[in-house]
Amino acid sequence: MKEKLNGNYKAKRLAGRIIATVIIGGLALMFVFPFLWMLSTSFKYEIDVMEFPVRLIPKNWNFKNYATVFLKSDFPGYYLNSIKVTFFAVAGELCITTMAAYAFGRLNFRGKKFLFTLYLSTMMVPGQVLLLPKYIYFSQLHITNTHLALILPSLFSVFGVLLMRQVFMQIPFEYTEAAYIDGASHLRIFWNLILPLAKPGLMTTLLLGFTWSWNDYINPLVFLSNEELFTLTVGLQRFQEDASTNYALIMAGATVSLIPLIILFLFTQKYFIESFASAGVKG
Amino acid sequence: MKRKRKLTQIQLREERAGYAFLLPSLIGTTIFIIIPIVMSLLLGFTEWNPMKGLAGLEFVGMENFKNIVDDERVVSALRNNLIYSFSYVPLTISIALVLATFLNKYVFFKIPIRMMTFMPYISSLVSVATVWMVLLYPESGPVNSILTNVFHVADPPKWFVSSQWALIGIIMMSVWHDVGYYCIILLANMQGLPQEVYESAAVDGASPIQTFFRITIPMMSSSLFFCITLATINSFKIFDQVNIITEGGPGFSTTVLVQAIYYYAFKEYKIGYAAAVAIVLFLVIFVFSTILQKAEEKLTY
Repeated sequence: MKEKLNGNYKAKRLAGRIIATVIIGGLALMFVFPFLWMLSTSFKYEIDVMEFPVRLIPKNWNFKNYATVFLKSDFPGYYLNSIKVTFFAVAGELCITTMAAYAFGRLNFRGKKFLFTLYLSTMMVPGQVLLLPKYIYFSQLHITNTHLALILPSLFSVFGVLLMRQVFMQIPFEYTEAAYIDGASHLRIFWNLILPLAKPGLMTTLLLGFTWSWNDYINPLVFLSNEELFTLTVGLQRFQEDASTNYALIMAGATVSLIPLIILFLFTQKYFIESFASAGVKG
Repeated sequence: MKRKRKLTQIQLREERAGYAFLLPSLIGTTIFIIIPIVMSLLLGFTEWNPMKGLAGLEFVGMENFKNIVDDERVVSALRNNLIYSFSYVPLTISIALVLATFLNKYVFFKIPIRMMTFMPYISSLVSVATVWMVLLYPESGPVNSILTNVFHVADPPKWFVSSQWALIGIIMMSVWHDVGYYCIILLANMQGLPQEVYESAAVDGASPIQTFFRITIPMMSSSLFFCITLATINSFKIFDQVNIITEGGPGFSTTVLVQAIYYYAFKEYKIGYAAAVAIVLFLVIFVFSTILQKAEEKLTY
């Protein structure tokens, strides 16, 4: 009797789980539908783009859109620019923010409390408010229309400092005390002890910084007017304006602009999701 | 009584290291964040066309703010920002919460489903906005052809070319883009909840719906507040998708504050006026985050 009840309960639970999986799975498909549609449209002939019923596998395959994107447009240049800007922005950000985080998280000095409060309070101000003063600086320094205008401000991420400080503070102080008493310099402790122990945190800062920099739109929009310097986001906008109603071609451009991050995400999704979640949980 | 203490050799060394490690960041933060914040505040009370150089800078007091009140672009932007936030935040957070609850307990294939819902968030808004623009193309775009042919909607919405539907389209797209992010934050917090409470609820015969409203929501209240605050602050900063899809149009039906700032500063070169709009943006965000913080103090335990 009892066993039968239990079995009934289990069967009911299993059925419930299957139904829930179907519903939630259907919802999840809606999240990827725009990507699938983009990908399939990029392989279609223009005449088939607006066909009904909506086909996710093209009736007639067309590879010319990609040939146009890679050979006849400025996309290769946009790629190189995005890679360059993102690389320097993220590498620089990692150096500068981890150093500051080491000072805030593991060292004592006069004025620390005041400076930390100052850092925290800047988080209140939305980044777009800083756009105008940055524009004034850069035009006075004549570095608008250079990649430096994009790289320089992103090196000083207050969010990155706060994030890494949390990570460093979780490392027990006993780990570094012995080295300290033996007379190791702080640079050594930072480089040889702290950084290796903070790898997951570094990964978080790296992935967040990478995503932010790669996807940044408003900064290149404001600071770059020379098309040769365009990154992928502003580049895609320009490409789309030029292609006007050639939607299959536009979708090929959109696919090309999304592919690197999506591939990186598919292979490292665990780190990506943990990084974004942990930044949120601690935030 | 505070006595000025003499620092030992080790403390002195530590202090020097502290300043040295902080210095690069401190210089940059001062130049690129702290001074700009002060500059923005001051610029809001000036009139300045950068084409005329620094000589064109003129102090005008409250005039910019007086003009803002009658400026259709800014007033529409503020209204659209409010409509956007009041629909985007509840939609995003409630979908994220339901999704997280299911992913936490009730479904198979958790990892691929979580991955699928998170994919839009890492994609650049520019690229996905471009895709949505074509998806919601009023004449025979895939969404509308499904609406007419499958659901027999005689007169499907004109989406981004209609002043009635454009903002709704933007909201839908933004919710789609961000749900996955709030879902993983909520899910991470949900996985940290004590399991005993759920077990005893199950023993007492509580239904999943009762469990959700009586246990999950109250126990998640502080992370829910965190997500709501984050989503609200971010929602007021909306720009990319609007500038790509509609550029604020048709008319002023989708214009938002950041876009007004961009327009005045870089299309009309009214830097002072744009800075005044930026101050309005800051104040709006400040007011909403203060209200949410006060509400959190009252409602969570």
